[in-house]
Amino acid sequence: MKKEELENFLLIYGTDPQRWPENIRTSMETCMKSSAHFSNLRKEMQFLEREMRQCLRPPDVPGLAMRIIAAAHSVPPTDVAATPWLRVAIAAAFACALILGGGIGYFTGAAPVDETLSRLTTSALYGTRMFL
Amino acid sequence: MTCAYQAKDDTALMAQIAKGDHAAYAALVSRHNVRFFRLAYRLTGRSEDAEDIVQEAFIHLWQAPHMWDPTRGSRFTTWFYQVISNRALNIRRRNMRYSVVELLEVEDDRTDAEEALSFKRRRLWLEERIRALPDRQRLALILCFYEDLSNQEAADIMGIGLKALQSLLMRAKATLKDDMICFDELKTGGRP
Repeated sequence: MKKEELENFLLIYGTDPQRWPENIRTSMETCMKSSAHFSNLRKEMQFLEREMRQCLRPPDVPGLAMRIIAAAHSVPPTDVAATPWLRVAIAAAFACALILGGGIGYFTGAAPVDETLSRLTTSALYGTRMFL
Repeated sequence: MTCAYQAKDDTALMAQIAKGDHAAYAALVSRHNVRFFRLAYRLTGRSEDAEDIVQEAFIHLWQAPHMWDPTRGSRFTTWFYQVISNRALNIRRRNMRYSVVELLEVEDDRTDAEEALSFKRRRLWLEERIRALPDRQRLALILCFYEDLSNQEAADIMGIGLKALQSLLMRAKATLKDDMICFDELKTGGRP
């Protein structure tokens, strides 16, 4: 195993052999034991990991679970999927609106546009310049 | 009754929660609140923000439990890790500020004053370097190193392939290793 390869494995899996993939565990351990250089690489990584363990330590948050549970008590579940009748009602309303709209459009038909009246109304509103 | 809920797995509890079962919800929150708080804290650096994130996410879960779909194949914790990390990264991007006070408040059990000071400086430096890592590298590091998840689990949470996760981990740790060397060189003035 090359130095770079081993270093990459240590960066990816860490120094704890329990986290190493089984297919490379034996060869990694053999390398560490046989070479002082590889052993030093591992020690460097162990030092970094030890220092990292001291970082980002979360504080204790006593009672967080109780606060969440209490807050949820005052909030009713509002999931639409949890209330199938509501989902069905919304879908039915959409379908009705669609059918009604289609029916009105079909039976009333499109009214012809009175072009003269339309022009007169537009010119009254915006002047006649736009038609010149 | 409580024991009966504790014995149930997350999927069973979520099925009960979807029916509005408050005891199941309490069991789920009690089981997981600390680990998700830990993740949120490590991503945001502020306990108030982390508490808010976890609380809001769990309340949202109570309101809309069907957001998690077990038929998609992901475990509840994998999905909720995603929820928490997305919220935490959004909050962090919005704030982009670190609570130095909280970092200094961490207890130190070393007796020798000089050694303790040096230790604290090194830790603060390293902590700052971890927080300065790009979001994805930091998340990969936190999930694998601090949360002790397997690389595959972390990759699933981040929605990336295993190789991509390994690359993020490698870059993150290599950067930190270089930073530590840099810190020691600065401290000793470049002397070996």
